[in-house]
Amino acid sequence: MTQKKTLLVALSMSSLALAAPGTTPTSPVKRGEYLVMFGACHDCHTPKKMGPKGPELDTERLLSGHPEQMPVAPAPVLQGPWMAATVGTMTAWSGPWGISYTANLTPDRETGLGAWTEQNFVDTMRTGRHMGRGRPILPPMPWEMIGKLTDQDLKAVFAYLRTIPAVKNRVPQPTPPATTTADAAAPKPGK
Amino acid sequence: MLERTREGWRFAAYVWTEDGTDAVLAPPAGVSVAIPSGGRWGIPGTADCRACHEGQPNPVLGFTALQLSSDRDPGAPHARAAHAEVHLEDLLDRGLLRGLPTSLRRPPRIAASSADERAALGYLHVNCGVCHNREGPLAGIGLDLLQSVAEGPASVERTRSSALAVPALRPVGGAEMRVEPGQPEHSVLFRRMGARDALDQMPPLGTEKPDRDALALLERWIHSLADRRTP
Repeated sequence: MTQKKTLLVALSMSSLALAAPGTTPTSPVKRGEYLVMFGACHDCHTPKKMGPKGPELDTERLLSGHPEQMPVAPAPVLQGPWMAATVGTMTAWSGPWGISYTANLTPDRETGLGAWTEQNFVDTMRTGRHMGRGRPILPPMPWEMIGKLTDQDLKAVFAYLRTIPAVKNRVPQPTPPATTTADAAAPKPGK
Repeated sequence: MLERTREGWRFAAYVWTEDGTDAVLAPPAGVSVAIPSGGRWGIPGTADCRACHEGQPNPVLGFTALQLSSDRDPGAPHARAAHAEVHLEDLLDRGLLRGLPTSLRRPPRIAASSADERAALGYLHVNCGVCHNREGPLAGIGLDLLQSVAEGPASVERTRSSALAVPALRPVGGAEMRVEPGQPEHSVLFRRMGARDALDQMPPLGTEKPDRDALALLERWIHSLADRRTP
């Protein structure tokens, strides 16, 4: 029993460990993890917590996007050359596009990418539209650059995202700029 | 334009030259052009073509059997009697159609429970089922608005069970359910059909204005579902 536990712990530790520097990742999942790390996906998609040396990744909420319970005050009004602002977790961004919140990339079915297929993910990165056909992906998500990866690499990223723990976190919907909200455009029933 | 090549389907959009004598290939990302009478028109990019045309296994987006039924739906938004002469029997008589399945020998119609439901499901079938079906890339989200003539009432029931009182993956300002029976304003499907901003609008591309006739129909249909509300 103890041996089994040790083995489980060792396996879960190894699933978090990145390939050693200087080595080439040997499986799609490892390759995906390598690309996610190098592509700085954690910068915006993993919430931060305060550690002894300042903000650090909250590994219990790995890649789960902007925390739904985190209140976001109205965005500052920027002037001059300043165009964008972000919160301390770097999970919410404000700019000419309105306010965008980073997505939950974990395999949670209701709030993450659990309902997505590999093709949905590849299509999204290629087109800049949700699932390749829905609403536009907002800044600062650099989908144009990530979309230049090969099919094999994009599929590796998705394969890795399938292996991380599912986190239930419903990221807020983006806030459009000016007055073009769904509320403003909503039809008035009965009129 | 769609072209079937040995490597698969190829998509491209062309822009008329100013004198209308020729057309040039639009950039892959699409282009916005000025309209002489005022305003602008967005010519779709290659990815936009794929977004709709590859929403189901066959990328042609031709007529469905229901659209070619001689059992016309008088309640369909924008229905015009003049279209009635193009139907399955007519195409068979003219030798333009062969091998009609047995299930289509009788003019197909949606097995709905009311006239408004028939028209509403017909509208959703044609305008939304292209992407929201159970065989295309969006099958995973589980919203099936495409009717199957062969399956009859089971197809209608599948649409109801995938939409009615089902939480939306993406709520919209106060609306949480895909269709909240009896409450159009709390139905994401209705709200997004009525929105015309890039973040919320459905369909996500290809239209500039909401279809008010269709919204009025959907509003009546959703109101008529009030007795299906769960306590």
